[in-house]
Amino acid sequence: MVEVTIEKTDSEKEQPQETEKELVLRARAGDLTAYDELVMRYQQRIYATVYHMTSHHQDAADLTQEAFIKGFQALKSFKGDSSFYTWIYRIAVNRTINFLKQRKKRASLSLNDVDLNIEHDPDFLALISDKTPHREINLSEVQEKLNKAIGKLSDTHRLVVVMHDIQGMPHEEIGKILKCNTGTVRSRLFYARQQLQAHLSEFLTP
Amino acid sequence: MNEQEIKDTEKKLQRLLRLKKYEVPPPGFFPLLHRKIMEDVEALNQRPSFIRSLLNQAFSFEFTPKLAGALGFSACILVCGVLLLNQAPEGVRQVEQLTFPEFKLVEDRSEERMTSLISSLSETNPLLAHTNNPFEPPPLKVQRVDY
Repeated sequence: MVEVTIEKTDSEKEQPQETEKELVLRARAGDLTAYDELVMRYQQRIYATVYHMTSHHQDAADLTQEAFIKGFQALKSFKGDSSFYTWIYRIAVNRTINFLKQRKKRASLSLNDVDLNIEHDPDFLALISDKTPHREINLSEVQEKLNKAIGKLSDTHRLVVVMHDIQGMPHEEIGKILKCNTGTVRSRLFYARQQLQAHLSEFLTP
Repeated sequence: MNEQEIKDTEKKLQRLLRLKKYEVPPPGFFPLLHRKIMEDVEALNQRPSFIRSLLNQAFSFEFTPKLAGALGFSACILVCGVLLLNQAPEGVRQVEQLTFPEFKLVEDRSEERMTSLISSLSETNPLLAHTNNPFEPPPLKVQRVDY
């Protein structure tokens, strides 16, 4: 196996990465390259959250795009009380929740592109080894049941599960984004997990 | 379920949920999304404000033959209208006179009334005519004149 290392150029080494605050200031002054950099930094994380909320690739792409455009339009009203990331994340989350309220009747489709690295994931291997004595399970079955179970949660409960258990965000950050205290985040998470355990009992019981 | 079992179940659930991160969009998706976002942002940035767009339209006015014709036609009508108004001052006077006779008629009537009043007063008191109004100037001496 060939190991590929990307050497940084001298200019890249000399110029330290700009802080988020500097980029926001430049973007507010009309510098599009600064906003471009902000989009580049956060689009994947925001897309992932929106995708796990909607379970739909195109909807997630559209909502991510809308969130960044709305962010650009409202950049002048951004006071800097929180980080830009928290602020843009909040915009995306609010838009997603509004979207889900309107979409209630629409059937959601799942993104079936699964990174094949999952086969080497220790969690997945553990899951298979746990299950082997009973019966064989495959990847698509896990994915389908997992998505169904998450889909049964209410929007607010799904959101905390996505942000904490899937995205790995700390409680405090979730609280800042959702504008609620950590206790609320923890209680929502507890309730959501209880529900998920009931829906996914076949994968969880020994 | 004892405490250990609850903890194990929670761990398993978290492990299961972590598998969701392997659901990823097709390769090349994020550069495309990034490009789309920045295209929209650039379009938004270049869109002029309402006043600026009005000014732009005013300054970048293009005279198409139809537009030029319409403008010329309306200018002609305007000039003709002004000329017509200037050439007919008598007509305007006539209009003024139309309202005058009515006013004169009223005046005439009041004159008749005055003369009848004076004549009636002259019958009772031929030399004095006065009113009851305290603010009126002192009574006039009216003398009969023979022509």
